[in-house]
Amino acid sequence: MLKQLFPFALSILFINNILPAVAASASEEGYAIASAYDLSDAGFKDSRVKIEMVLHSAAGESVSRHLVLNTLEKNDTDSGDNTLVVFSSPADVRDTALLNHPFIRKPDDQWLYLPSIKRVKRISTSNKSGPFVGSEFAFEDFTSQEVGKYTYEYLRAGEFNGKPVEVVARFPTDENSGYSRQVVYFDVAHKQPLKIEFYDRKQSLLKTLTLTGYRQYNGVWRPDMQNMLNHQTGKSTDLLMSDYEFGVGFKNTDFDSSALMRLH
Amino acid sequence: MLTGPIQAGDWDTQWQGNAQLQNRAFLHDATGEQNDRLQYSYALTPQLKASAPSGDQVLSGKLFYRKDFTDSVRTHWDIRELKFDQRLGDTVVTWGVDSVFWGKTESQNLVDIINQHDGVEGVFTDEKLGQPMVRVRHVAEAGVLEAYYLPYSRQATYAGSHGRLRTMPGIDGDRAQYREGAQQWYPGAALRWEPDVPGFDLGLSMFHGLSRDPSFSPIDHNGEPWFAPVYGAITQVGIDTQYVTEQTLYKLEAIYRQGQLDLTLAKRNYAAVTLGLEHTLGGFMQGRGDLGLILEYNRDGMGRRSINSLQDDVVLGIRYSLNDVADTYLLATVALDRIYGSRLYKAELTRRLGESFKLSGELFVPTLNDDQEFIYGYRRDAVATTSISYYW
Repeated sequence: MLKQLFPFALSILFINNILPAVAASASEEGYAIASAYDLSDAGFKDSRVKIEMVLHSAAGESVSRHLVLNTLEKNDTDSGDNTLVVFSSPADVRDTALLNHPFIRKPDDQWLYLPSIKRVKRISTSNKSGPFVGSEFAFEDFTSQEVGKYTYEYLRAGEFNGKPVEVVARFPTDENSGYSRQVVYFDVAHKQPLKIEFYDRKQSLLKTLTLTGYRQYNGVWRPDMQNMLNHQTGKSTDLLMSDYEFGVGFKNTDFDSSALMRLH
Repeated sequence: MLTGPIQAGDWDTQWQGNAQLQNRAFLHDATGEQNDRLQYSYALTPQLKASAPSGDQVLSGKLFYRKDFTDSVRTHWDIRELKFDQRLGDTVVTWGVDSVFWGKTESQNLVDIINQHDGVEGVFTDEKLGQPMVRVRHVAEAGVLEAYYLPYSRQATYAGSHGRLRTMPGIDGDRAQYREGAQQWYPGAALRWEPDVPGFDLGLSMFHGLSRDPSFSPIDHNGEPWFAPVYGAITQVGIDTQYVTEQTLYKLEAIYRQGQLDLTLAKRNYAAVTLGLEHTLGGFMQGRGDLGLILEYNRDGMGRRSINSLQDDVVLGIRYSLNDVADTYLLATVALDRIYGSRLYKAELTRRLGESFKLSGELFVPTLNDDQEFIYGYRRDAVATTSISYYW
């Protein structure tokens, strides 16, 4: 009887004393891996890349969009890298631009430039989970990659596509996020994510992002291709990156809402 | 020889533009000369942009032509843009013809005064006539300062005798009159300052020049009583501001204007204001789209004598963006006039077809009961407009 109870008593002890320590270390370890990824990017200053976005329907049809993504690194503790997306196709939205200033502890600032009426419009950022121009990427998939926007839990070491990986779950702190958690597979060798699984608010697997063709530019790793597959609809979106440029020489004023006017 | 070799780089030149076919179907018969219930037209908008290899010099042009098979006055062309931008560090100097948008609100933009509106284009469009200018824009961390010299003013366009969506009697835009020695070459100037204020967006503006809002004087038009627009010089100060929370934008635009001619052709100093909010429900009804709810109030100190139809009007609206591949977008508004009891309903739906076409449908339904209201002539002009545009 005592023998039967004893393990039970032990497990209570475990829960009260040992488990929190384990949980804390899992969260610290997860955070450390995410930070290592973030640090691997530090000092890139700014970048510009051409992106072809290919949207595949469940029926196998596809359409393309072309855009340029400009990024300005921010090293403050309370804000993330500024991004400016400028569309070059389809033709009816050519020169339309989307500017994002992300913040860790408050809503992002976002502006849309509509070239046909030359209007810069402030837009609401509440729909983070909404699709970005009809793709399988949500707004937050582009704009919420800052370490401080998640809490972490280290899951396991493993292997993905023959490469050793560390698997970390991250939990969005933003209540408007469309995700309950994301499971990120970080390559042990270069600390970059190879795969991210997105779980919706009902805890079902919603999407999988696969990042391939990593190359090093000025010491910074970037993928050539990202594929986002929506498991619930069968639709997917490819991002094909080309012509990466670093050290473009962007300034803060190039990522100011008024700078949208200068794009012509 | 000042410096080394001449830059061998080529200018980057891009031709683009669009062509549009449009049909307007009026829901009711009109009277007299306005005998067509179907109005067909097409429009061409070729654009050219040429950038120097350094990106510091840009030449842009955008022409507009519309051929209307019912209303010969709506057949018109315009230089929307023809300008040269020279970038000198944080300053850009622009010479030529351009269009400019100022403002924050949705029902109208009181502060937006640089360009004249191309009124024959319709009741929905923000189409503007190109404005000749010299502009200096300086961008700094503290904000953006713009200064304009506006040597010449454009005349507003109005539907002709066979056209609809016009006042009764009509307005002959070509027979404009000018007050107190002013004329089309009356020089204007404007300043705008957008300080970088944390937490909200702010624009302060000043303008002196010919009013973009004419009053009207009776004339004889082929034996019928019509109106001629009457332009006079004004001075205006304006503020447009916006406070942003995660889901809601709070907006205000206000102007104080001196010397505006009211509907009785008397000079008035007056203030006008638009204030309101836009609340966005992201992922509305578990869907992928965003629903925006718009509520605005417009007040004009000239009241019944105002040249502006939004004198004391509440505007309610919804905006729905599907966030789909076709960029499907719906905007529906109603303006409730508290002076005349009239209602103006507008709805607009746009989406892309394939890669290069865009389809747009618009519905305008006015409910006008009081013949004292200046736009009473629109009362039979409920109209459904369908446009298809090809972009290259």
